[in-house]
Amino acid sequence: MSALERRVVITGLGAVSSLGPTLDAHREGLAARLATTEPSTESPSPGGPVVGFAPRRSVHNRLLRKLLQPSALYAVGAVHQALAGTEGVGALDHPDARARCGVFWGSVSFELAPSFFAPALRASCDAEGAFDLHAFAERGLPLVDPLLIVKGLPNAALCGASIDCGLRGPTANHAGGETAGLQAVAAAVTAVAAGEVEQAIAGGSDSWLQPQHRAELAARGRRETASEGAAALLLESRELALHRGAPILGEVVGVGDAWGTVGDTSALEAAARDALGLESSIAGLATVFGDGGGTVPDRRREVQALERLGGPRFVGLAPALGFVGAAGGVFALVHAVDAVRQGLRGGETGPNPDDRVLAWVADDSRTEDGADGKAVAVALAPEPTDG
Amino acid sequence: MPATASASIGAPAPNTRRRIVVTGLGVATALGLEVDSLWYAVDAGRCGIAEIRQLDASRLPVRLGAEVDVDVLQRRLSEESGEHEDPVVAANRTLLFALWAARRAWAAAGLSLHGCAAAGLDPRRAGVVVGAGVFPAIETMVPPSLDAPDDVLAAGVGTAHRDAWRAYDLGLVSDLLSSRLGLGGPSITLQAACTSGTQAIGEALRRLRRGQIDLALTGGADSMMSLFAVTGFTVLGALSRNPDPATASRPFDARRDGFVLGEGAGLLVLEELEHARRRGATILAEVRGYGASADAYRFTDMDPDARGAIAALHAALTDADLTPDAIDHVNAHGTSTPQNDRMETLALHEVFGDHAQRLAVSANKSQLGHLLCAAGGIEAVLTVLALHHQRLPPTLGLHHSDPDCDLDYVAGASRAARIRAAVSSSFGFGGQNGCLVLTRPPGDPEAEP
Repeated sequence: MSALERRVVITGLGAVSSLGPTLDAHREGLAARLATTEPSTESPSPGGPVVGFAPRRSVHNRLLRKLLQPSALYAVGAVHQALAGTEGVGALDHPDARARCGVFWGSVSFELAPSFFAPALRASCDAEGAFDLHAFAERGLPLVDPLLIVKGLPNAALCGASIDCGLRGPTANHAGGETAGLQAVAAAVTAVAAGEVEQAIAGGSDSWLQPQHRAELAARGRRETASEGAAALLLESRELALHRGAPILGEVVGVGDAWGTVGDTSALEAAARDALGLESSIAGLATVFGDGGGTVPDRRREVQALERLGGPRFVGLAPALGFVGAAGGVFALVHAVDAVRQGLRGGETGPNPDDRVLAWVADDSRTEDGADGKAVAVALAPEPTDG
Repeated sequence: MPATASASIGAPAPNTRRRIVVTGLGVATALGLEVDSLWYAVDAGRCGIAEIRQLDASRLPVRLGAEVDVDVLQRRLSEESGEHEDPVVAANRTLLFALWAARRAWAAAGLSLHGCAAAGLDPRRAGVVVGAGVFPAIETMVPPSLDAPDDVLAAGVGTAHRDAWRAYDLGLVSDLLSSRLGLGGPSITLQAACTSGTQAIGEALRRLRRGQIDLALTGGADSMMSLFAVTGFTVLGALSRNPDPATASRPFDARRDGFVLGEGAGLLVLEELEHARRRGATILAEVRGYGASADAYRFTDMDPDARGAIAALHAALTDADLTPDAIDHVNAHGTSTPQNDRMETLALHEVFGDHAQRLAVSANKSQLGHLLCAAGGIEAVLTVLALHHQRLPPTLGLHHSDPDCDLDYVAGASRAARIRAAVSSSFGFGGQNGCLVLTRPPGDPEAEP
C-alpha cells in the first residue's frame, strides 16, 4: 500500500463561537438556532462577539494570553478542545506524538485593535487633520504599541496553538480570505493521506469585530452580522486512529480546491465534484454545509451549484453564526461531522455508509474585475460500523 | 471553464516520487528587477541598502532600508501591459512586486503571458502557492474626525479608506496571479512571517509531488516599508540602529544589532520533471527536499537550543534522501540579529557535525535587507543561481568574529565553488521553520551528490 492510499479520519473537534465558548456550548446554541434552510433565506442572522470565553482556563501560557488578539486566543482554545478530546479521544498524550503533529491553519488578517494605532494617528495630525511626519516623530511614535507588529501577525493563531499545545510538526498558515480555513484543512488532509504527517491539527480563526473591519464588511455588501470564532479538527491516518483506539468521528473521502469563474458557480461546483471524486455518484450526496448568507451573488452561486449537484439538502452556516471569515468553512465542516455522526436522515435510521456529506466555501476575488475566485470543498463519509 | 485541483484519498499512487524542477525565475529587489542584473550585483558584492526614499525617515530612529525602484518598475510594467493602472495593484507594493516577478518567472519558463491555455497547458493543472505579507499604510488613512474615540476613529478609517483596506487583503496576492496568468489550480496565499516564501515553495513542491498539479508559480512577495510598519519593527527592537548602510546588516558579525527592512519578490516556476521535458523547458535546478517544523517555544524569541531549526533541517535532508555531507552550500536565514545568527550556527553544527566546517554559508540579507515574507522566495532564487553559476554569494559587513558564529560565511566577496546541493533556510517570527534542499538539474554530472 502506498502512502497516498492512506485513509484519513477525524478524531477530535473544537469550537469557540458566538454560540458558545466550547464545542458543547456551540452545539447547544446551534441546536437552538440552526434551521435547515434555503440559502436564499432573508431571515436576520445572529453573530457578534464570543461570550464566556475564559483565556485563563483555555490558554495555558501567560505571555500568550497577554500577546494574542482575540481570534488567536480562540484558536488556541479550539485546538486544546480538539486535542483534549471532548469525545474521549485522549489524543497526543505522548510528547513524541506532539513533536510530529502538524498544524495547518487559516487566519488572514492583521487584527489591529484601534488602540494599536488610533492614538498615534491622532497625535500625528495637524489642526487641519493632515498627517504630519514631524508630529509623528515627536508625538505619535511613542504611542505606537511596541508589539504592534507581533500582535497583528496573521500567523499568531497557528504559532500560539503550537506553543500552548507543544505541537512541533510541519506547519502552514493559509491567509487567502474566506477559504483560508477550509483550504488549510484540505492541505492537512492531503498531507496525512500522503504520509507526510501522521496527525495534524487543522482549522481556522477570524474576527471581524474591529470597527474598521465592520466598515469593510458593510462596504462589501455582506448582510450577515459581523462575528468571530475558531474551529479546529484533529486529523490522522485511519490506521493510527484504530491502533490507538481513538473514536472516529468521520472519514474524509476527498478534497477539492478550485479557481475559476465564481459568478457562474464553476469554481464551487468543480471543487465539490473533485472532493466527491469522479467515481462517486452525485446521487449519494446527502447534504451540503455551506455559507447560506453573504451577498446576493453568494446566495445565487450556492443555489445554482446545489441544483447542478442534484439538489442535495443544504444547511447554511450564516444564519447560525454570522460572518466568521476564514473560520467559516471549518465551522461548516464541524457541523458536517456532527451530521455524519448523528445520521444523515434525521437521526432515525443512522449513518448510511453510501451517503456523502460536503462542506464547502467560496470566496470572490477582490481583484479589479471580481469575476473570478476560489472555492474549497471537503467530502465526508460516516465510518462504516464494520471498521 | 472551472479549474481545479483535487486529491482523492485512496487513489493509486505512482510507484516513484515525482521529481520537481525549477524552470523559471523572476525577481523584484533593491539590487535589480531582472534575474541577470540581480545576480551580477550580488556576485559583485554590491549592497542595496540605503536611506529610505519612499517616506521621509529623517526624524525616525531607523532610516535605512533596501527599496525596490518602483518608478522604474511601474514604467516598465506600464510599457508592457498597463497593469499598474489597476488602483488596487497601484495601492499595494506587495501586489506590484508579485505581479512583476510573476511575469518575469512565467516568461523565463517559456510560457505565454496570455495565460495557461495560450501556453498549451491545462489550466486545471497549474496553481499558485505564494507567501506574502502586507501592512496597512495607516499614515495615509486619516479619518474624517480625529476627535472621536478610538473605535469611532478606526471605523472612520475603514469607511473613508475602504479601497486602501481592500488592498491589504493577503488573499489578493495569489488571486491576482491566478487571474492574470489564467492558472486554474489552487490559489493559495500563505503567511508564516519570515518563513512564508520558503513555506510556499515547500507546499507547492508537495502538491506537485502528490500529482495534484503539474506546474506551480511559487515564492514570496512583501513590502512593509510603510511608516507604521517601519516604526512597529523599530519599537519592537528588531531593526539595526547602525546608520552606516554598508554595515547595518551584518549577519554573523559580533557587532550585529538587528536587521534592515527590505522589500520585493522572488518567484519561481516549479514543474514536474517530465512535464518540463515534454515542453522543452530549460531546467535550472531540482527542488529535492523540504522540511518544516514549529519551535513551540516563545512567540517573540527563538529557541536558544535551536530544536525547531534542527528538526526542519533534518526533515529537509531526509525528504531529499541526502546525507549531510552531500550539501556544499547553505543560503542562511542570517538576519543579523543576535539571536538568529547564533541559533542558526548552532543548528548547522548539530545537523552537519564535522561537515559544518566545510559548508559555505551565505547571508543575502546583508545585500538585500530582510524581505520578510518574500525572503524565502528571493533566497531560493539566489540558491538556484548559485547552483547554476557554481559561485557562492557573499556575506557583507562581516568584520568581527563571533565565537558563537564560527563557520565559513563567505565573508566579503563571492567565490567560485563546486556546489552539488544547497540548503535554503528560513526561521520565522512565532517559531515557524522551513528548509529547502536544491540540487543541480537532473542529468547534470553534478546533480547526484
